[in-house]
Amino acid sequence: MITPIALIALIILLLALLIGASYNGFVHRKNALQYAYQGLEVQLQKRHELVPQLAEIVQASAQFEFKLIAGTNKWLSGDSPKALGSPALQERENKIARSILQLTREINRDAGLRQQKSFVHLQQSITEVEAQISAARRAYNAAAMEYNNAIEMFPTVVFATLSGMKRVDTMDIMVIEPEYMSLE
Amino acid sequence: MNLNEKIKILKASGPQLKALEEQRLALVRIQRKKLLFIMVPGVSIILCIVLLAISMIGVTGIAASFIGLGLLAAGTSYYMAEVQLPLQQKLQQSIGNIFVQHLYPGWEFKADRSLTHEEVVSSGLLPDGYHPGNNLMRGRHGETNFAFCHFEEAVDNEDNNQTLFNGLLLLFDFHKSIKGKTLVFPDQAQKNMGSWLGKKIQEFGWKGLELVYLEDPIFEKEFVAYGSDQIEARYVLTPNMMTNLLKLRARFGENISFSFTNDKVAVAIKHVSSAPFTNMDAPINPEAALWHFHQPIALATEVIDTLQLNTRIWAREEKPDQF
Repeated sequence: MITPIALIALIILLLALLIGASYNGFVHRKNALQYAYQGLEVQLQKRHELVPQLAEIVQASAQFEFKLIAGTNKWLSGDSPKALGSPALQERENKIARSILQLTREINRDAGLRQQKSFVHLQQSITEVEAQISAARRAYNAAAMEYNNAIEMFPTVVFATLSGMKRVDTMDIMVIEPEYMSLE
Repeated sequence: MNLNEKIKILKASGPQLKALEEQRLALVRIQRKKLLFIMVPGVSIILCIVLLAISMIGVTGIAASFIGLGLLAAGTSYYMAEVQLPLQQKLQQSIGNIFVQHLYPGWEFKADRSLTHEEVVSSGLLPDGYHPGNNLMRGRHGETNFAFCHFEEAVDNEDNNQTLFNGLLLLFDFHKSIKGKTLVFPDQAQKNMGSWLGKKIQEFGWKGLELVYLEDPIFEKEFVAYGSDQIEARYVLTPNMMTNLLKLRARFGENISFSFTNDKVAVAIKHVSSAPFTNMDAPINPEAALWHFHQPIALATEVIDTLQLNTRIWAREEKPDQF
């Protein structure tokens, strides 16, 4: 025979378990989002490190537009992505990506530069980093979707409201596709 | 392989296959003689024992004689199987050598060999405690090294024999550098248990790997992906790669699974064989032997082309040839 006290204790225990599991799930999603964001940051940093190498090849040609290099350097010397919010980060990264594209196009126009071994290697490195950025962006967006679901769905909405959590935007960072790198 | 190539190969390999057929016939004759050599004295001894038993203990002797005959038959068939298997593999090896020499110089075919234990285990696509395979082939198509062999895995239940895996395990050099592990299986759970419950079960993961939820709804419907790293899984499973995997899914149905690990992609395809020649007692038919030999190679090259593994545009650390 189950006594009323035992029944109440059982219900409380079940509720505690449910709350605990929901809270853990919420924390898991929050950490997954942070992890995905850090992964994206690492790949963006790799992209930034490649730009000076690209500029170095370009500078070897006197005919080149130095304005373009100066423009790219301006974007690179700004705040690091960590200090920026999502929209600012996207804008800055898209400008850097466009600069890389422009630099690559200019190099491809010059037969001498195009055939340089260091440029071919750099093209491969850029393609690799861009593929990694694309993967990191997709992972971040998937984590953001899970996190936003948790924030809006019961019972995790309770924890989100209590801790002042808000929806996060998905990232729409431009990624340079391999075909634009003119790799055969 | 087009008709002209086929005719050319058959023409070139014809004399060697003919010589091999003569060797096979000679071997079969020797085997039959050996069989007679075992059977005649064996049957004579059993008959003597039977007659002796009937004269001494009556009807019970007849039952004993049946047991004796059964034992003799079992022993003979075991002996023949033990003798025939190496001969059959030797014959397969000889046929394979001829075709490799004419079709793919530099490739390696070993009828009695399997992919290494490390290669099979790291793929994660075969059941635990698998048995070594056979008909190992190692070659190169374009820029991509590959290897494959045939496996047949069965488990004995109380009621029946259940085949777990019967088909080819193919390994390809992957065009990107990968450190973790990503597995792609046909999605059975969501199909059998419904989308919500199936996904909840899949969220528990697979052998320490996390469920990777991908944004392509058609891919998600057909496959389930597990990975050790969410980012690397997406680095491997690009939208283009997902489309390519779906093309192979349409071609092979639910019989196909994939694994991406250790800079390699492993593909397990059920219900396909890689045996160029299987029956010691049947004459060598050059056309059929060539077809059987070439079929798994055509399949391997089809997978390489479909997955676009020859596209080498990513910076990838070149490792010593592992195939």
